[in-house]
Order: sequence, then C-alpha cells, then structure tokens
Amino acid sequence: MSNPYLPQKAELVEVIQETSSDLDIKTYRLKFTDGGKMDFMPGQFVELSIPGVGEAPFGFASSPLNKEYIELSIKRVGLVTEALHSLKAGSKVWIRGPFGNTFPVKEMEGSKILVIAGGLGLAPLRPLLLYMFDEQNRSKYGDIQMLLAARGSGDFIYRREFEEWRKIDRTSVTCTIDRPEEGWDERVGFPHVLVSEMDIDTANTYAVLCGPPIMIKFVSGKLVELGIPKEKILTTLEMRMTCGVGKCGKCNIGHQYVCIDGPVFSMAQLSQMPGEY
Amino acid sequence: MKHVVVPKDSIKDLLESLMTDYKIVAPVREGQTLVYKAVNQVDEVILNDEAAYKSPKEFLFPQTEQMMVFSKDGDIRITEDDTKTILFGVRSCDLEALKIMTAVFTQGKFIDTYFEKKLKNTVLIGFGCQSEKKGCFCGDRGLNKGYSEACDAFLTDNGDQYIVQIITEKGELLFGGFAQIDSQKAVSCESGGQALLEINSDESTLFNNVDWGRISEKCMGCGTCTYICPTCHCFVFKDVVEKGEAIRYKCWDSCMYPKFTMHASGHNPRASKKERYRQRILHKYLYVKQNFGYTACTGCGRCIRSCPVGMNIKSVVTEIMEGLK
Amino acid sequence: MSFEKQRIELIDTCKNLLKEGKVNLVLGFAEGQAEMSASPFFIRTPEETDEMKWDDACSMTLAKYLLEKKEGAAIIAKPCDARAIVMYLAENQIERDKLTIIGVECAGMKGKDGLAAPGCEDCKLRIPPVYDILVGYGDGLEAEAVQKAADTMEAELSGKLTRFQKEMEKCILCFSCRQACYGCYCESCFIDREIPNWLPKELDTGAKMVFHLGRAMHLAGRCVECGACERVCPSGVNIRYLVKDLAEFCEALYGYQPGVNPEEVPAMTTFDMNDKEVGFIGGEHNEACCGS
Repeated sequence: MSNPYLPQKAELVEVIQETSSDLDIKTYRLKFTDGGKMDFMPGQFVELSIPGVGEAPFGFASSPLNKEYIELSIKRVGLVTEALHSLKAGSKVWIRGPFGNTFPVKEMEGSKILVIAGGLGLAPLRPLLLYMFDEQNRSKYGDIQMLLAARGSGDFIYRREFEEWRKIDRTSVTCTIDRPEEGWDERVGFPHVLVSEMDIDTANTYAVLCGPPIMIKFVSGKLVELGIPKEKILTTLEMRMTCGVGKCGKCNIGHQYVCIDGPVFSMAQLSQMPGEY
Repeated sequence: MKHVVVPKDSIKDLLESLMTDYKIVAPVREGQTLVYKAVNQVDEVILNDEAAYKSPKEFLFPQTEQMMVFSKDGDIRITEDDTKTILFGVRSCDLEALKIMTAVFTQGKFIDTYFEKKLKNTVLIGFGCQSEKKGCFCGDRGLNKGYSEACDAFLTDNGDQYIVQIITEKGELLFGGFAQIDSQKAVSCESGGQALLEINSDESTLFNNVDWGRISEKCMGCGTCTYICPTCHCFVFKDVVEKGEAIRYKCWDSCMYPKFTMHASGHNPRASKKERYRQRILHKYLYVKQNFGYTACTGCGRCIRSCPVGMNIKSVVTEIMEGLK
Repeated sequence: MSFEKQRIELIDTCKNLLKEGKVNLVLGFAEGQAEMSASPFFIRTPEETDEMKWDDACSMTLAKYLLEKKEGAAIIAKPCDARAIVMYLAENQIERDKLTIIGVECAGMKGKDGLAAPGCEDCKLRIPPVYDILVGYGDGLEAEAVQKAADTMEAELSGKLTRFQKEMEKCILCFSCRQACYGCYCESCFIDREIPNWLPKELDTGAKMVFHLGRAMHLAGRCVECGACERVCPSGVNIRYLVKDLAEFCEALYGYQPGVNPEEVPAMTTFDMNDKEVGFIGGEHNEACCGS
C-alpha cells in the first residue's frame, strides 16, 4: 500500500491573476515534474504543499479531460495561500491526490443543468462545466444554464472564458453583481432573487451550487421552493481537511468525513446531517 | 490455545535477552507516576496492579512523528523507522483501544502506512489487571480487565509465576520455549461480555435533543483527556525548517482546542466548547461505531482520573441515554 | 469546624441570592470524581445549593469561567479567585456591576496527598481583596494552616537550568496549564501562531522550554498564584517555580503583587521614567532582584 501522505513534485507553469482588489485570486497551472499525470473527476480535490509552510486542500479547477496540466484557483487567505501567492512561474510545489468523491456525472446525463456560483465558488465547478462542454460529452446533457454572481464586476474569475462558454450549444451564462456599477450592462442582484425569474425545468434539472455559505443557504431554499428535488441539488463543501484520507478527524460532519464521503453532497444528504459546517 | 508458565524471576532475564533485538517499552516509575517508556535497564520495569496515567498509544502513533523531509536539492525523502518494539505490560483497555485505532488507520480506501508499519514491527504483550482503579469502567464497556485477545501474548499474574496465553506467532516466538500447561487448568481467558454503556441513538436526536451546553459547561477545554486517551487519534501536519530542509511532522491534535477545525478564513464549524465537547463524546460513542463498528472508548478511566474539573464520560453518556428515554 | 460553618453559611447565602433573583447562577463546588476532590458546580436553583461542597478539597480556581460572559452570576471566591477577578477588572475583561462576589476566608486548600495544594503553600492572604459578601471563619475559629510539601527537586538540583530541564522532561505539551490559567486568555496564543513558528514540532525538551518560558513571561506581574496550572497538569510538572521567580522579581522591583489591591494599576500596564530597568536589554543588572 502506498503512502497516502506522500506528495509529488509539480511545477507552476503559469500563474494567472484572476481578480485583484482585496479579493486576491490567482489560477495556478501545474505540471508534474516527472511528466506524470493525475486522473481525477469533477468535484475532487488535492492537497498542495509548500515545504516549510504547510499543506492545504484545494479543489481542481481544470478539466478532468486535460491530461497536460491541472489548474487550481486560489484565494490569498491563509498561510499556505499567502506563500503560494508569492511564487512565480517556474516555482515547484508538491501535490497529492486526487481525494474525495465526485459530482455524479453519469446520473446527471440526460438532465438539464443549472449552475449557480458565487465568487470563487465557480472554481470547483469549472471541471464539471469543462467536462460537460467537451465535444464527446455535450450531447449527453440537456441545456446548461449558468448564473454567476460576484460582489463587483472585477470579482469574477474566468471572466475571459465566459464569451466562449456562451457560444457552446444550448448553454447560457448570466452574470450578476451585488450593486449597480457604471458600465455594467448585465444583471444586478443576489442569485436567490434572480433564480426565481429563470425558466427552470424543475422536473428535469440538476442544480449545482457553490459559493459563500449564506448564498448556498438562500439559493438552495429557493430551488426547493421552486420544486427541484433535494436529491438533485448538489453542492461542494469546504472543511479543514488535513489528511484528505479520512484519518485526521478534522473534517467530519457527524460521522461523515468531507474528505472521503464528500466534498460533494446533495441537499437531501445535507438535510440529514448535523449543521456543523 | 496454548498456555505456558513463566516464573516471575525469569521475566527479567527474558526481557534482558530481547533487548539486543528490540526496543522494550514497559511501565516504569517517573516521579509519582507510572508511564510506558523505552526501558534502559530491565530493573526499571514495574509489573504491579497500578495503572499508567497515559496510554501507550504513542509508541504506535507518536505525539510527533517525522514523516518526510523535503531536501535542499528539491527532493523528498520518506522517513523510515524500522525499530522493532516490544510493548510490554499493556492492559486490556489499551489493547482493545489499539484494535480500534488499527481499524481507523488501516481500514478503508487509504492506509496510514506509518501506523501500519509500526504495528507490524511491534509485539504486543498484554497484562491483566487484578483490580479496577478509581474511575475505571472497562466492565461497563464489555471488556474483561483480566484478559484481551488483541495482542500477541497475554500475561496473567499467578502468584510467583505468570501464566502466558500465546495468541499469535509473534507471541510464540517470545514465549514458545517455556513449559506448556494444560489449557483446562489455565486461567480464564474469556473476552468481555455485553457492553452496558453505549449510545444507542441517531445523530439528529443526539444533536437536537441533548443539552450539550449544560453538559459541557464545566469543561475548560484543556485537552488533557485527548492526550491521555488510548483511542484519541486526531492529528495535524506541521512543517519545520531546519538547515534549509523542511521536515514534515504528524502531530497529535485535540478536538478540544478551538483551532482544531478553524478555517484559514477564520470561520469555525465548532466555535464553542459545546460543539467541541459534543464532537469528543459522539466521535467516541457514535461516529467510529458507525464507520468501523467499534465504540471508541474502552473504559480505561484515565480521562475521569485526570480531568481537572471532574468531567466524567461515564456519567455523561449515562445521563445522555437517560435523558433520551 | 470552620469549613462546615462556612458551608452552611454559603448555602444560606447562595440560596437567598437565587431565591431573591439577585443572581441567576452561582459558581461553586460539588463533590468531585475522585477521592478528596471537588468539581466546579454551576448552581441555578435555590434547591441545588444543598448539594454544595465546601471543604479543603475546593482548591480549584473558578474565576476563569467568568470570561464566558456569565452576567448576573455570583462566584464563590477564595483569595486567589478574588485576585484573578481584580486582574480581570484591571484588564477590562469583566464588568464589576454584573458580578456578585461571595468572598470566603481561606487558610489554604489541600491536595490529594493531604498537603498544601499548589499555590496554597506560601499564600498569606486569608481574606479576598475584593468581595460583596464575606463568609469568614467566625469568631474564635481558626483553620489550621496547611502543611507544605517538601520541595525535593530543589534540594537535589542546585543549578536552575538542570532543574528546568528535569521538569520539562515530564511535560507532554498538552497545554492544559494554559487552558486552566486565569491569565491565559489570549484569542491566539503565541505558541499556536505559525509565523514565527514558536514551537519546533519535535517534542524535545527545548520545545517545551520555549512554551513554558513564553508563558512565564506573559504572566510576569500577572500571576495570582492560584496554582491552577499545576493542579491540572497530568504529568506532575512543577510549572510554577518559573513564574514564582518572576513574581518575586516584580515585587522586589516595583513593590507590586498582582490582584492584591484593587486600587493599584498593574505593574506591566504602567510606565514611569523612574522605573528600574532591570531585566531590560541594556538595563543595569540587579543581583538583589534577579537572585542567583
């Protein structure tokens, strides 16, 4: 049995500044130095190490079909991310994974998809989006509606890709910000309000949410009200997952470990779990 | 089942002869207390009816364990520890606890290879208790204080000799040479009975219908209970930079500490001692049982004896079950 | 029996306070879990007061529970608890008018060995420095002074560093001393901070020394000698001797004893140009204060 705590060395081949302002988010493109690849599915995460600083969990942000490199989008918030943000392309970091469960991409086939993301919450959903957008896969899924929210126009991540996404067959992208801004011609308002104006085929839709806890709470409440079954409302949770392999005892919600039983949970599952997250 | 008889005065000779090949860990006196320690001289070993104040779990799950080194030249080295150890004089409660810890660390999709390796390199020699100490409640937890099969060989005090039950090949290797006796005449080697102290309820009832605020009111969150507990196994990784190399350690952590679950953002899912104490009790009495089939408390009584404010896990569990009736 | 007389009076006092609704909670003591021990008791009804324990096993310091925003509470305060309360007031941690202090005259508590509990061996304070109600021994009654345990360590080891190292070997770095200490209430303890990483994670004696030295420094001029740190230590480390040195140092230099006089400004929160600069880098060295 291999050592699950042993990371592999990877090089930061590109660093993309996603947002600046006080919300400092960067996307890191990584390649394993031994030329190896890491097979994963949407929803999973890795543990990233900076030797001497520590290790922290991050969800994949790139397509699982991309075997060249992986991407992680990371906000500067703690020790590891602070150190990471000071690194330039060419720097080496250490990665282990993939860990956690995945979005039920097989079960979702044949359904329409509603994606609601707030801020950095779009990052862990991007592998799912890119997976569904793939030529081989697009026909397996119905319409894809996206409602992407951010505090202000400068706080969207992957904004450069939105135009491309809009061109994809049966795909729509709606962007919204919290308060009106000069020059902003898209929506203004919170996602839980806007979602009720959307035309949703509630009987045949999987909703996937990620964003601040308060957004998840209001949006999921609204979606249940609109008639989407709780089993088909999915979200991905964030916890302090130290080991990633169900041993260290930090990320449990009741008896379930976010690192192995999650991070993807349906609202039906969450409603049965203690609210300790 | 094979039983042998070892005269008491032969034990030290046996340990002496094993010291060249093994690190021997046994109960020794340290000040007023009894602790499990690596033995320098066999005369230090104390085999009486006292209980050590902390469990010997640290010899399989060290308080700080070096895992790997990120070297200067950008490589990584796994820290290997091949020490062969004899954990000698371990009580039923601690043996059963190691069984639970073994399940947590070696079952499932991933295996903690550090624990697995140490376990493989360790010979566990059990030793029966004659009396229950203040705070002990292994009987209520379905254990037999005088015997456990969760080891390689088990010693029972029998006057001027020990009757040794040989359980595994590792045990045979150590004690196989001693005079065998008729198992019929040997001491009782029964496992414990039915556990009386259990939490039989579901998560949502336990979260919603138990007044955890009141139950945990006295608790100071000092975490002593988690350090001396034989089943507590939570940990954190820490990096230390020494001479240009980064060394990664696996260190004990405690669910009683506020920082245990705190996110980098400052958000804390278990923000007060109410949540933290609930986690400790339910992790032991519910979650491990749901995930691995064992209640992770063996009634060793250490947390009761050491708690500075007199928290008593036995009465807390009893009270919870009474309250839910 | 002074304790029994005090106990009856305490029950009576607490019962009335709860009955009259003057307080909603009394922090007191109940029977403990082991022999010769007491456990904190959160009393909320007049009836519960009958279960109160008061004897020489009630050594635990209750003051730290006051930090949990227990407004409208009463606390049974021994002189050490009261000193901690004085410090909390000086450090703006609690509000005086939301607290009822039931002071108890105290000649010292006993540990499990029947000798003076940690903190009690040298304590000269019998009457709490601050209280609303005082429950004394009564006329003509005197409690016998507790017997001090022999300090075997001191006799054996003259060199202080050796002694320190010897003590530290026992420490398992569980931080229970910090959790129990009235004065350790920092939101984020220096030892838990990651930058700089104060604590090398390999558990050698040096790592333990860093923690205990750091803690001692933070308690200089603040330790109220309640002994909580030592009472809770599962490994029997004599933690206080370091802090004691600092307390003596502080008293010799500034004539200040923490928590003894509610009117006094704590030594470490005031600055006077004439303060002796002993102990500061570049300051004069004072043999009399520093000791050996």
